[in-house]
Amino acid sequence: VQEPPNVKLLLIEDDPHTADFISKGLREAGHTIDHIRDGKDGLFRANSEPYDVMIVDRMLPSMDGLTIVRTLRAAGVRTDVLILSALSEVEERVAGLRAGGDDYLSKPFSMSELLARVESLYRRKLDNAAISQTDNILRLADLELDLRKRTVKRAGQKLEIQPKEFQLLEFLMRHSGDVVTRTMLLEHVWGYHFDPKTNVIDVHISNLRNKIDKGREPALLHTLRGAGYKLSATAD
Amino acid sequence: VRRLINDPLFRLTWSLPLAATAVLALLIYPIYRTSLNELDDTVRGAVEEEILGLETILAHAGMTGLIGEISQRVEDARDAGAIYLLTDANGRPLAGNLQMWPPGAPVTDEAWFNVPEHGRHDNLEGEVFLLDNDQRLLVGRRSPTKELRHKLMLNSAVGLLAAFALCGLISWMSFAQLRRRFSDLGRRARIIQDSDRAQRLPMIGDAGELDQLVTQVNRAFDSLEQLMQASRQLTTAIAHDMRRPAIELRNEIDQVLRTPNLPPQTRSVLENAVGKTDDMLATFAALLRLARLEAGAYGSHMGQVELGQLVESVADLYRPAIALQQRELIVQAQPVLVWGDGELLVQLVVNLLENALRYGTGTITIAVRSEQLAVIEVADQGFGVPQADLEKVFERFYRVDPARSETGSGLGLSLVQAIAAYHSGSASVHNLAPGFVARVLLPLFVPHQSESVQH
Repeated sequence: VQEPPNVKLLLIEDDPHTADFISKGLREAGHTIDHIRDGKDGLFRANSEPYDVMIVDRMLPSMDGLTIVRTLRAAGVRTDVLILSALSEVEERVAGLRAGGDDYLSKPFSMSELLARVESLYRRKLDNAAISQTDNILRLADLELDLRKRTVKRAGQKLEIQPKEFQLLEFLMRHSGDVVTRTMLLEHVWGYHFDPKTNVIDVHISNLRNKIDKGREPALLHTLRGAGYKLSATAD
Repeated sequence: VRRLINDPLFRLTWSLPLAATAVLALLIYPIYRTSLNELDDTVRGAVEEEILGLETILAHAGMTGLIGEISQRVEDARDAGAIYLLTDANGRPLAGNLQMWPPGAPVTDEAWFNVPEHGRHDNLEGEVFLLDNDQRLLVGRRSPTKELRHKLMLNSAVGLLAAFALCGLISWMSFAQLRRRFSDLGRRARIIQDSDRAQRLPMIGDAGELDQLVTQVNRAFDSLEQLMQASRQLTTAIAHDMRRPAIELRNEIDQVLRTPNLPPQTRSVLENAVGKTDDMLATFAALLRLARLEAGAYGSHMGQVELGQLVESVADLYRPAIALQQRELIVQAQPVLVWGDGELLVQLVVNLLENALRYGTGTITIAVRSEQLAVIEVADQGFGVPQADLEKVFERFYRVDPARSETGSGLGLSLVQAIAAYHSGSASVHNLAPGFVARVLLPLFVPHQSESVQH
């Protein structure tokens, strides 16, 4: 069972309303957050104090968000950076990731989306105790995913699984215990950046759940209303 | 044919030479009449003179002399059309070249007659003279004006026909030019309306009526353009300005939703509200994206895109959702290379697919193939769109049945068209019988041209 992480965050955002929304939400989720409004001040703070994750707005007074990230990376600061932007176009996102950002979120976003991404970034660098990767097998409870053979077993029984479902499950297992949003799945499993009007992801998840959870205990794949999904041995 | 007759230019083209010919005919007719009358007078004069001559011979040489003279004249045949007849009081012929007294000719002294000849297409004209013992003398001409009439009529006809042809040619040529000009203007106006709104109609430069009309039409296009731009700017501005309060609204509901132990009913209502706000934000985002695409200000990421694979991949994402509706998805994708923004093209395919999923029924077929252009087709087996509305489906906020479909922004196909246009392509929709197909055409990727095609 994972404890909810306490992530130390630096938020560089000039818009007071967005900043309030983010600070409040993250603090309520148990994280620590420092908020800076100006680009240059933000760069100075990021250089002088250790943070787990930084949230940087793309457009800032005195120094552009991308410049901050580029400068930090050049100085050897490896802190994970989530870039925020009002622009969702692909060129913007590519520029953000090229500058050294680790993830990109376009406004508007829901608190659950931001939280999921922040926690995913934070956990990425931690060794996830629940999963052993020594033999190229991801494990959660009695669920095993063999990365080399591309097979899935539950309680030692091999499951029929489609290639896309394998990728979906792999992503969920790598983030087991974390909330994973629909957008994250769409971005990382399918490589798409749009909001489907049809519940396409839900149907994939429900198909996957039928294969790994149907008639078995405990249920591993959970739906969190209004937030996303979580692969976990406990219902939480 | 009726359309041709109703066409004012066609009517003008032919009514002008017709009018000219009619005027000419009116001018010719009195000349024709005068000529005929003159000839008639000449004939009368000749006939009267002849009768006078015969009378003299009768007075000097008696009946025998007269009969001889008449036979002589018949034989001489000085005038091929001359007719003579001398009969007794009962009309039995005594001399001359008529077999019988012409029916209808009066038996009256010094009476002129003009009667049709029995059994021939001629008429007989002349004067009757009653001799002392009621013997009858008839002198005349057979169809004296026939030849002249024929000649006059032939000449007039040839003249009128020539005049008609000449006038017709001139008017046809000048109207053909006018017609070409009109159809050219029509064609250009259509292009302006359909695709190139910045273009305007050309003027001849003669400052004539047509140029004034062209100027007026161009002014109308200007106002239309300004209105459209203003309305587009307004929607874009509204979308832009309303985004912020909508985001704040969404964030606030989001915050309430994070309260622990929320009653399920409240949660459900709030989640519904978030969904509605998201729909609204999606509409705003689509409007802003449309505006950026149309302004060419979209920050795109152009590169080689393989459409077959792109479509297969989108189809894989949607297949389970489509299967859930008990519908089938058939993909017929060939590998086709285009130069474009992969993400925009994914959006295009997604919009076409969601359109078929939401508004169509039955099996959905996606086809990708290479013809002269890259072709993407998404077909379903639904009722399609009323034929009159086919052009409108690309308009912003168009819905086939506004009452029926609560969901959907009515921007899906507008975006499809804008994305196609952004790639120098086009989008169209067609009703099948039965079914509906949306078709997008994009230029094929040609490797050595890639540099110049880049945005």
